[in-house]
Amino acid sequence: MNTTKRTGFAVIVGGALAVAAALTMSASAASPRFYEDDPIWHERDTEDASGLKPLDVDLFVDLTTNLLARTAAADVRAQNVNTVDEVPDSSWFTNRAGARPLTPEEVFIGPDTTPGPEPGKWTVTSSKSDGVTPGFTIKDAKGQLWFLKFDPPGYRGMATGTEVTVTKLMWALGYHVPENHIAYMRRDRLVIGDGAKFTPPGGKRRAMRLDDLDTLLARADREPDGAYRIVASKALQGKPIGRIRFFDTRPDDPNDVVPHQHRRELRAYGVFAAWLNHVDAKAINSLDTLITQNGRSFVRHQLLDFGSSLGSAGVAPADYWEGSEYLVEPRDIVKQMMLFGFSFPKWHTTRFYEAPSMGRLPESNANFNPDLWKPRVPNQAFLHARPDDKFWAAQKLMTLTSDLLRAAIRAGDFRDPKSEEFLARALAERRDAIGRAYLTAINPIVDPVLDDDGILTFRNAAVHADFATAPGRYRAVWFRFDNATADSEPLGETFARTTQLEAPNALPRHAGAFVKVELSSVDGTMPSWEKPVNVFFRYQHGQWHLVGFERMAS
Amino acid sequence: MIALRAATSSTDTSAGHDVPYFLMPDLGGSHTLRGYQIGRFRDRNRLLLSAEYRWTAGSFVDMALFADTGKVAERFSDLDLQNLKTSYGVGLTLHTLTRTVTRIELARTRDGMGLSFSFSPSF
Repeated sequence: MNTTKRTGFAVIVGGALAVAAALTMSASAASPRFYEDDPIWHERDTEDASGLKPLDVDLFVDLTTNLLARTAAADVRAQNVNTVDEVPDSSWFTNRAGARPLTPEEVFIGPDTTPGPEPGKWTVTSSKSDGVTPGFTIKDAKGQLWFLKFDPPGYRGMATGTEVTVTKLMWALGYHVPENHIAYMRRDRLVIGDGAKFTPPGGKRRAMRLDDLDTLLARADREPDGAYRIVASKALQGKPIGRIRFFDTRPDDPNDVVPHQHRRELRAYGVFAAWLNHVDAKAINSLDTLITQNGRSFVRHQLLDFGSSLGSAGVAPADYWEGSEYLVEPRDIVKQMMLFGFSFPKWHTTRFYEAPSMGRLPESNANFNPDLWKPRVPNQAFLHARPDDKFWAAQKLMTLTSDLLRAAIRAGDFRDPKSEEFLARALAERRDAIGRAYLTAINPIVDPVLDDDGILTFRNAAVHADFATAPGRYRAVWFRFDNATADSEPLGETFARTTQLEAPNALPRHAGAFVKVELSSVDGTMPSWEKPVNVFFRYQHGQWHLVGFERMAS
Repeated sequence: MIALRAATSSTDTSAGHDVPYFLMPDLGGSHTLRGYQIGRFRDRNRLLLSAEYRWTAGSFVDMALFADTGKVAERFSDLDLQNLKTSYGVGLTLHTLTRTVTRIELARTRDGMGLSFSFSPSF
């Protein structure tokens, strides 16, 4: 009796599951591949995040975890790309370079909304005494909150100029960054605010005194006239609630649904960090702030503190090994132990350009290999980057012309024409080296357009940038595409020696029709270009519209 | 990098007095004659010679091959190069940018092998 009841229950459950599975399959089959509003260009944070509490990333835990637990990166396609393989605007990223032409003036201004801190007395509200560089938080005459940082003694312009230049470039590339200004101040401009605290080295936190300012300023570079050159960083909008972890999601943020290592802009950040020699690209140098607009709250994710970039390590010139090694390289350590120090990494023999105004960077960057570049600490998002993520980053980078680079360097106000010229050349060389490496690595077809006459035009990004020669021919395999079932029906195959291909005569031309085109190179020297990109067009309002693009299909 | 050290120590007292035993110069331990236990040799005068070949194995790891030799004697004039006590070995130092975290050294002496730990540089 008992057995019969159990059997009956199992049948009911099994039947229910079977029905549920069938309904799910049916629902899945009924879901179109492309929706009316595809491609999406704005990723909205739809859930209210007002309940979020500050959740900081522990520097020591973050450092140790990343240094010791280097997980093997899975080959997973970026999960926050739209149907045309692009990153929509979001609380993480805003499309700028590559999405529209940027002017040198725009890059020079970058994220700035003010000319810098208001002149007059600056009230110190807190100080940074734990690190090796001094820092203050001040309120200017308008009540705006600013963070002040300095150059280390003897390195005028190195940390401050680098911070501002890299901020402008990261802004141009699409990231949310603070507005940073170069400014000058005298000691007598600072007054200590009520409640300002100071923690002397090895001592207890106490009320700040005037002589504490002198203690801190003793570790800052000084102008010949006695002034201090500073980078003034405006407090970010919103309430600080933590840092960006580069792995997994923030558990209490209802809008944070894509694991961070699978966000394309964070994977691409690794390419940009390599370009800028931003070796300190880790959680501590980012900030999440809770912003409330129209009664709803969301988290904005920002990158900051770029003082350890280009030739600067913030407190000194970048060390010789930086950019070539992680802080801890167990294999190399064992090798060096066994070989009595007679194993010489490449950086031992690299020639460096060195100057107090910008620090230290390899003299020649023409042969820079972005795949060999390393930040101080492994970054999981960087390690998960696939060739299509790197291609996306390289494409953006190639739109930053030398004029735009010079505008960013000009904003850094290094006041050393020779070093500024070197930086412009180094950044251009590294940009081109990245383009050469990543635009040629996979099928580089971009910007496909299908016109009313059935002519498909596109660009070959690698050939366009002069990094490769054009293949002998391009091949297009055409399909009628069923958006409801994702079935494809062959329409024909066309070839061309140029980047213009004719569609077959059977190309449908009725509203709502979809075609899929597999575009590849043939008779070329790049085997990887023979793997097609998949392009999808929808016929609507008498025109073909691009609705789908896959460079490396899942 | 090669590091060399030569050091002598001497004590003196007025007539009828003697240097307290534990204040006498000594040899042995992680800062003098490595491999021997701390204070293994002790007398009123001391000679110590050290040589190290140091190399960097990583950002926070240094290695060293070292040899220490020395002697203690009642009279300063007896500090010659005869009958020196000797040790040699290999060391590993873990450090930050500004301080030594741990120094571990394995040394061979006439008495056998000795392992020493320290939290400061050898010299």
